Amino acid sequence: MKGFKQMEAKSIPSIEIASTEEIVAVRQKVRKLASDMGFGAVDQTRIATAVSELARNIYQYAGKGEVTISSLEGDRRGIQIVCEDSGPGIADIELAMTDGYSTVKSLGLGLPGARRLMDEFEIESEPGKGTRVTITKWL
Amino acid sequence: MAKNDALLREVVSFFKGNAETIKKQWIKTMQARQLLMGMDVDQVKKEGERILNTYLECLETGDFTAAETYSKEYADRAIQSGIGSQQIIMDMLTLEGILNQLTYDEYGKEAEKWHQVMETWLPTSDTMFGFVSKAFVEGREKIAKQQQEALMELSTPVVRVWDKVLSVPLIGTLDSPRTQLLMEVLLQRIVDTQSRVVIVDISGIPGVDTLVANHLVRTVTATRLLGAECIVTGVSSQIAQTLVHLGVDLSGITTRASMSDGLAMAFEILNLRVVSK
Repeated sequence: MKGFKQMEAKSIPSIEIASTEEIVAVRQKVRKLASDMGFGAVDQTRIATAVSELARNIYQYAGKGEVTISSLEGDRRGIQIVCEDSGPGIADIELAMTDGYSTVKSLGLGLPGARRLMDEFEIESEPGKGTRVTITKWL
Repeated sequence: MAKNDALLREVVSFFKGNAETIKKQWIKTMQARQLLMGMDVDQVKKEGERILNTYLECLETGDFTAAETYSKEYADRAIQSGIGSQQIIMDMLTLEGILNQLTYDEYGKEAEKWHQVMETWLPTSDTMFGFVSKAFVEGREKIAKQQQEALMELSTPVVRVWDKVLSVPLIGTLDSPRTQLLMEVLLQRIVDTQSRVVIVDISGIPGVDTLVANHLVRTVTATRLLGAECIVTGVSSQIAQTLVHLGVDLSGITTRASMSDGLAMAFEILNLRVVSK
């Protein structure tokens, strides 16, 4: 992508996820940044919901992890969120990305839903090492 | 050991002999630092006496049970009367400062002896300071927890809006313990009031993710098992679009845009009609 290298990213300090209170906090922070950047109400809700899903996954499967929110300022402006943990990892990413697949009797829509809510979605995971999900929404 | 015991007895009786001076100095210092607001002179005197007596008891016996008991009582009193953390901390530090000065005046000329005396009384004072701080923080935490619990019950009100119609206006974040409580309260109320329609209003919920959606689906299912119909109202346009993208299937749930639409539908289910006089 042209101009990608010149892109600057401004991050606010990473937020540690270790309890449900922090999921609420991270949702509020991401909504605030998205609103400050000029995202509309619907996009704010989409981004906050996607982050809520991923942060909840961290808490549910890894117990703790980190969420980093940054604004991408360059040729193209956007918001990027990195959610990472050192939890059990995902053995079969394709299966985890399938609608309705869940190991914990939830709706099984968290990961595939987050992908649909955002413009870009990248997932890296290694069993026993952890998982990192990077999501981006362009303005 | 015998020498230390002798020294301990000496220090204790030295402090006891100067108890009046210590108490007076303590009150003076605390007043000079404007740290005794919200307490009258009698209370201040009592508090100073309690602190000193408790401390001396611990020093003499080496047993901190008295410090623990006193700390808890003091923390409770302090929290109830709105005394801040600054004062609680300064209470002990002021006492320590006074004892320090007193010891220096008495033994300061002989460095070796002075050092031994300090070693004798200071650790006890530090430990008691630890107890007081701990009790205060724990007291505050206890109150925070009580408030949280109170808020949890407050935030799940089930209101009877009409004969056989219940309404649940949800506000804030639907975390799991709250949802569990809501489910219990709601189902019990349905049974108690023999209601046939329940309106769950989610306009006060900032976001609906898959967890919240799952809770809603379960609440609706449980309500139906009791023979009541459940209507979800207050779905904002943002939330509607987000739910569609998430892929949540709410087709089994009856939804209406607003609470009043929900009520109109409830009347329809009950075969009621609102007419003007």
